[in-house]
Amino acid sequence: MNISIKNLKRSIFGLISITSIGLMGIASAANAYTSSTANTITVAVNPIINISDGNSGTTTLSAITPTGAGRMSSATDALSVTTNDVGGYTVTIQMAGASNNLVSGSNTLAPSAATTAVPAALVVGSGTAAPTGAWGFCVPSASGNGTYTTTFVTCDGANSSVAMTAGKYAPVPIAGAPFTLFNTSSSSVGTYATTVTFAAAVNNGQASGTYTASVVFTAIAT
Amino acid sequence: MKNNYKKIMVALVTFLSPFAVLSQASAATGSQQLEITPTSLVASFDKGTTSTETITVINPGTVGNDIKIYATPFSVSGENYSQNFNPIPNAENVSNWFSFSKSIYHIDAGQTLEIPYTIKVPSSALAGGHYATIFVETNNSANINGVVIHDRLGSIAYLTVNGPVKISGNFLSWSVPYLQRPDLTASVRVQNTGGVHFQSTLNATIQDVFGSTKYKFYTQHEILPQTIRQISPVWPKTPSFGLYKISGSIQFLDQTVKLPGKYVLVMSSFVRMIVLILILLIAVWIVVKIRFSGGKGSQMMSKLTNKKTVKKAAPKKKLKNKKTVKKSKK
Repeated sequence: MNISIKNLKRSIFGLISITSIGLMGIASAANAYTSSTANTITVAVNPIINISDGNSGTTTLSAITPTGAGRMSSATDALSVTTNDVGGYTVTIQMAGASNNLVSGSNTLAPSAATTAVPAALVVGSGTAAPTGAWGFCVPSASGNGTYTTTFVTCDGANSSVAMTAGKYAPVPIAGAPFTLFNTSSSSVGTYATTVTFAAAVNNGQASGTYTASVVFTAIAT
Repeated sequence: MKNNYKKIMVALVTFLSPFAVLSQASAATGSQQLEITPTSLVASFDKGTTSTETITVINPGTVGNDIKIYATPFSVSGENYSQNFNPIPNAENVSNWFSFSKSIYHIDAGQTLEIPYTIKVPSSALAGGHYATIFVETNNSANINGVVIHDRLGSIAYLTVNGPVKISGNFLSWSVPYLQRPDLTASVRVQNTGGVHFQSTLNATIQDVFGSTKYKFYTQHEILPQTIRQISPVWPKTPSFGLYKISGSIQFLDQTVKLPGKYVLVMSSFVRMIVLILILLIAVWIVVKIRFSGGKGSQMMSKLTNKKTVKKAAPKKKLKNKKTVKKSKK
């Protein structure tokens, strides 16, 4: 009888123990569930600005065989600027130095006589008369979010030693006086893409040679 | 034999043609690219201290380049913040605070460079804001018949030299023209009247007449000391026609200015032309209706005018009569 009571006590104690442990487990599990804290996920996205041009850094114009009436060549460069900066950005063009001539040794090919405000067709003198050469750039007008240059309307494509065209060109401004191609204060304009045309025209008075100049496209977040 | 020869040629052409296409494609996609981060540096320094910073330059393009790194002064002009990187006479040239261990680097296609530079703040520097730009520029020197392209990216350094300095600014205006062509544009002007830059955060929301949000605009800008900056929220690709309400807020220097809702009627040039044509057509229709309604219109008009004349004329007669009566009594 004593043994059976002892067994009963042990059984009850065991049952209570198991139940308690089970309840504690459930409680702790419930507690763990209810007291879980929300994880805040934070990630910083760095501001970047990217500039790209499609000609690997050189825009080569086809050689020009001059005539007395003048002939010209033109070539295009695909320019693209991208940013995720929330302040917007500005894109400008200017020469790398204080001169905006194309240079071949001691010979120069003068810039277009027009202005960026009023671009005009390239002009050369008749025969060998001055101006013996002219060169410039053209950026097609665009519209949309941001401020685009709109003075050129449309631009020539690539031409190889052709008769003078009516395409409008402006001189590339010298270093320190950049011309703004585009600017925006908006975060929504991620990419500015355009095709810049460079052209040169000469008559019989322009000395032969390989004429070169360095142009700088600048992109800067504002 | 001839058949075998043809088969070999066809097999060769078939085998080689994809390579030809690939080589053309790679030639066409060869591009000079440059990327930098951060796009600006905002930092504070004590006088006479030196700090080392880093700019990350990435070449995501397909050709390697030499690049040069250098600093220039930075200032702005006008409310549109035209940027100027030239030294200003008699003004401190902050670019002299910057030094680079190397000025020319080479970066291969796909490579990332961490370029360190040092900012040394002179002990004589005035407390307040000082500004410069760090430029990273491709440095090609190809001898070609044409134009050598230098791509250049700038990172503006907004530096504060610690010390007593006035910090203050004002909200000046919030203007939204009622009638606009796309894109819908507004304008906020903020003035910095202190001696150090501060950041402004602009939030704007554009809703239609039913209260449905059509576009949200968010931008952050630094406002330089003693300048007014105009910030223009723009809704890109605004529909050609619609009535919208723009509202928002601008935060700067621990203050938030609510930009009250303003209605804007957006009409593109094409829609305006259509509206003008419609108005003209309605005007013509009215004229035609009056002229060719069998005289009924004109008769009606004359009847109306006669009635008015009678109504107006009658009291005068009465008055005259009264006066006559009075006179006769006298």
